[in-house]
Amino acid sequence: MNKFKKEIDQINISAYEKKEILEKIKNKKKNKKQIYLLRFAVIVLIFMACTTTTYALVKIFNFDETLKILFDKSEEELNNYGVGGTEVNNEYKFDDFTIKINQTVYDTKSLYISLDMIGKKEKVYIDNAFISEGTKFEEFRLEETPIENDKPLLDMKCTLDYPFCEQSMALLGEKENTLNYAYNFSINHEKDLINKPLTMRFFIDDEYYDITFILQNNKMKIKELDFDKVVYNQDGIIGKVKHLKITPMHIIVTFDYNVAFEDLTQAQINDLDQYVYNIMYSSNIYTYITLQNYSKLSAHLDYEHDEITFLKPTIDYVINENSAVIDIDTLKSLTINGVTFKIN
Amino acid sequence: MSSDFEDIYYRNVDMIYKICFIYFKGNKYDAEDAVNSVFTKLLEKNKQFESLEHEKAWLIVVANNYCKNKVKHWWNKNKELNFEIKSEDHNNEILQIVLDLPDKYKIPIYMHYYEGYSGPEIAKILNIKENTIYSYLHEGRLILKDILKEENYE
Repeated sequence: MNKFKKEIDQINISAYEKKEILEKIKNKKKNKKQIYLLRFAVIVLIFMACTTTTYALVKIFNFDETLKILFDKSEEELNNYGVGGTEVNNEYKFDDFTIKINQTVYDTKSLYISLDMIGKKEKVYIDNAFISEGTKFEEFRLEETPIENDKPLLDMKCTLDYPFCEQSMALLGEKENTLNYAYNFSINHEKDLINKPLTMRFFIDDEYYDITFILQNNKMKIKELDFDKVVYNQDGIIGKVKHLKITPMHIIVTFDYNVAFEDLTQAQINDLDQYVYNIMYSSNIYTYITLQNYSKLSAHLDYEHDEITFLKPTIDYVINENSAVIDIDTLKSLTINGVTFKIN
Repeated sequence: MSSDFEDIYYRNVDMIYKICFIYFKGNKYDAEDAVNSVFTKLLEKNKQFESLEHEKAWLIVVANNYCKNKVKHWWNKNKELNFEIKSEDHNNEILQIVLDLPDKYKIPIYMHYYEGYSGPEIAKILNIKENTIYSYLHEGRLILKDILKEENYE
């Protein structure tokens, strides 16, 4: 075995090769980060190639329609905004009634909204699903499909050339109940929904609640302002802004009046009217104004034909809420009877 | 990279090279690659050793496992690994015969006759039963003897 040992001794690696291997090992460690980066880049490239190929295939074989909802779901987000209720994770809680938004899906031709109404009410009217600010609705269709409801509902299906849809009625019954509604708004012009709020009004036991949906296009951010800094003042405080939501295109203001209508002076009522009128007039957009007692005091304004119609109150009522969609620049610079309303 | 690593490298590179060389039946390129991989593993693991013996044993195990896996790989299974060991000054007949032995005999024979490990030590390092190591050494010796007899080696 001595010979074996001697022979093994001859197996040697040269000093140069030893050094070379050591250098290789050192470089391997140094290059590791670069290798990871390279791998990542390759993965990204493969992903992009796959996406492009898929897109090309979709285009070539016209899978657009089939896949539209799939893609649009992720691209488009709907922002829900409740007026008169508290928004909690898409739930709008009123005193004894909750409207819960389950799903909103938007594609270029329609808006699908599925919602639950939970509560104990004798009757519910769903009314006035409309798009504000829009000027022309060549075909605006509202369909209601009740789901999982043991009581028959009146169908609501109408074609609108005017952005108000007449009422539909559902009986909720005396017990706590949940109704599931699904609405599909079909609109010919895809631009109609973009950047424009869609408000649905729910009449429940002769009261109504508005929920406004605002489509957020291309990830527009919403800026919240400090409400307390906005003062609505004419001969003392009449009310102040309760909710304020601003997008690059709109500002939605909910006024909270704490003065009984009967306590308002005629001058103040005139100011209010003037204020609303000025908003409408100067913003030059379709705008709606809602006041709590719809039947008694309300103002519907249709700017489609450059006309503004006020349903003026004839008797005294408490004005609790008032919502309007106005242009932000208008609000910033609005002056009524010498009083300037400012947002700081 | 610490100089510790370089110390370990220079202390053990010859031994690891020899083991890999034996495994790859004299293919020096494969052996160099194997050395590279074994020490890369050491660098990645950042292993701390209790003693020089521990260090040596760990590297032997890693080299053994690496070579075993490499030889078993389908690519190498179909590859001819018979390299003739040539040396100008020496006759490498015994080494050539050892290289031709089945893999299981080679490393125990190397460790016993060259590195001077005892049977129980080899068993512990390679995690093989002591009796098995003894039988590998015995059988390996018999095979070597037979071959050398056939070749009239004195």
